Amino acid sequence: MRQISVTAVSVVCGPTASIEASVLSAWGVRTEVIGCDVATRYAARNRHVRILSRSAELVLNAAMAAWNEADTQSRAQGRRVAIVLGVEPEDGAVVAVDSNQLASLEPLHRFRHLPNVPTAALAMELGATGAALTFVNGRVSGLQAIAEGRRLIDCHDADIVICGAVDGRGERVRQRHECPHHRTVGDCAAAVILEATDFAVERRALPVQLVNSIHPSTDDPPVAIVRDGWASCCDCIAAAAAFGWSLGRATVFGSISRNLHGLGVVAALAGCGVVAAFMRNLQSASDRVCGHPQSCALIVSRNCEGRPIAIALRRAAQ
Amino acid sequence: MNCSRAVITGMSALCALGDTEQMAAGLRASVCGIGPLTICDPVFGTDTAAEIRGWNSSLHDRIGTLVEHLSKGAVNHSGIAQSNSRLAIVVALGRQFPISTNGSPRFTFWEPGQRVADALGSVGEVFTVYDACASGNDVIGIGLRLIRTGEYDAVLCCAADSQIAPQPIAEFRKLSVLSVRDPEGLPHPRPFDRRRNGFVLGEGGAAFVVEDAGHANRRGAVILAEVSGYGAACDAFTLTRGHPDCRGIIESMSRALKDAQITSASIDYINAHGTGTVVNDAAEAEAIRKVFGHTVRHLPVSSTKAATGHLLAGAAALELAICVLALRDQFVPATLNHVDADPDCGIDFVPGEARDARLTYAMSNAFGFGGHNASVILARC
Repeated sequence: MRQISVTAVSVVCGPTASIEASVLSAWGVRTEVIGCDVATRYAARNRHVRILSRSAELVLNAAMAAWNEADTQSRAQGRRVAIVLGVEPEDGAVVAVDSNQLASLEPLHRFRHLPNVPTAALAMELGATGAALTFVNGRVSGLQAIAEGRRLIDCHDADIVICGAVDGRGERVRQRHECPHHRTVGDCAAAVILEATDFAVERRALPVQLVNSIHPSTDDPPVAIVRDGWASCCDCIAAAAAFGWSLGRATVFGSISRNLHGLGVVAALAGCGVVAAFMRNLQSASDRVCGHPQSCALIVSRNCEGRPIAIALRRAAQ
Repeated sequence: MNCSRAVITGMSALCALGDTEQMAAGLRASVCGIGPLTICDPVFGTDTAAEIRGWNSSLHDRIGTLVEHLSKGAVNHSGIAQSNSRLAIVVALGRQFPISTNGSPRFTFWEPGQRVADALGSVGEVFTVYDACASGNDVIGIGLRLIRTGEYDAVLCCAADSQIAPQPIAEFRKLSVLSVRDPEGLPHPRPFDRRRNGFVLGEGGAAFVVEDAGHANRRGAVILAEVSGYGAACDAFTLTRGHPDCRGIIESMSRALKDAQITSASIDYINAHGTGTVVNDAAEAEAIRKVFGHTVRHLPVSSTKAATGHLLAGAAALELAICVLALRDQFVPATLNHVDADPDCGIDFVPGEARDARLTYAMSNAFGFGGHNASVILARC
């Protein structure tokens, strides 16, 4: 089995997700708040990317920040770069029209808001010619994107994978003064760069954390368990048992997902953002909370009516 | 990594030609499933579609119903439900459009997959994917990795779509990719024909139970075909146009061949993406010539979209099902309405009539909006 490293993480929030941004910043995650205008911070080099959707813009900002932080660009020559994103479809942007409005329909409008467009936009901007996959699975999409990125490297289908998640509905909803379910809808993206560890070591990248969701070592506890989305305590216990991990010295962090999701519906942060947070501050946070460092983390997420999924992280050897 | 082989042990398909066996018979007889548009009124002169006749499902949840129907059919066919197997579900589907309404319809991509899991009582992971027209091959690729990494014994892979509604028809017409009746009365669509003018929308899809070969053998399952190879690549060029050098298409086919550990000379049949649009067909033909070299003259390549319509997110899955049937029944489906071949093309597009053939390996290509390209190679078992 190929060892896999995470070499960079980044989160970008729009104005409607500023509370989430402050929570993540407090947890030590590189988080930037960008404005509503297209390409406020990162102007796409590819002119075709500049006219796309809010989701494409957000994910481009997050992924490029992570890509540059990992300094992957200079060493990516000859390596196969794949992209796997979890995307919350921009339903608010796609309005069904009646027959009287068909003549005035802008034909590409709906296509620009298809779920796979952020993935394609990122591939276009980076010139990434590996697989480009889009998961549309609600709050577990981000975790599934990371897990699939790991599989792509494990199966030698890619050397570097940009995993991420994006929810670009917030800004449009704010503009239209609509609040579904009387809650704020989020506006943010998170990105995580996965690399085969041999490649990361070869180019002297600093692995942030190993992702090891399938065969975690049983001598690694204690474990930090993170509840995300709709995951319950029972889900966490079941997930830990599935990984063969003892809960004896575990610290259950429910608060981060509560803070992230209590006020906003930020599907992008489900998974990727939380993984990013814990990769950054696993040791210090767990030290602060329970007085002893955690070497592993188990992130558990679930859709409201779905099955829980979990991903395991382990601190990289220094 | 566990290098286990993956095989197909269950399959269910539904399209304008009918269910799996009706489709097999229809393709053997070179029947066209395209007919008058009845789901909605004609839009901008488009009055034909490849509708599933007699399919009594709600027009407001047609795609979700298709996913459930196909998944149930594949699971029953494989008998996997009776075994104590680790089963994951990978679903791809298009966005459900209302036939006539104003405002944003409520639609959640992941709900149909979840409904399938609930119906099966499956506790495995459910994935919902959208990679435009390449979705059907990508669900197989994801399933293949889940088996190769040893995470699951079997994966239910399903892709379905139905975009026969006024708004999608109007959008495709405005993009000039939808085929219309020819003033000279020529049948349409005409994939790879010199006078091709686009595709006709279809609906349907297919579901497969992809299973670890050892697991399938242990439970005595009937093996329909082996999934030998999968390759995916992104054009990374523009959303609507492929790379001028066809690099994504070439790359996806080459990776699939490498994954299957065979040479291009081993492929006996290609089910092309073959939408019938001027640009896409030319690019695919060029890419096939580049990958297959001099062997291309003896290689049958056909587009079955002239018989089934273009199913968009469901297209690749349906065409993979056609490859399974071609391998099982040892025949090559025809490219209907292909009468005026480009003499420079040099490819055997199997015009008009299906023919008998000895097939061991078949490749299915799918290329989607956004530059997604995916190829799957199946082997006869």
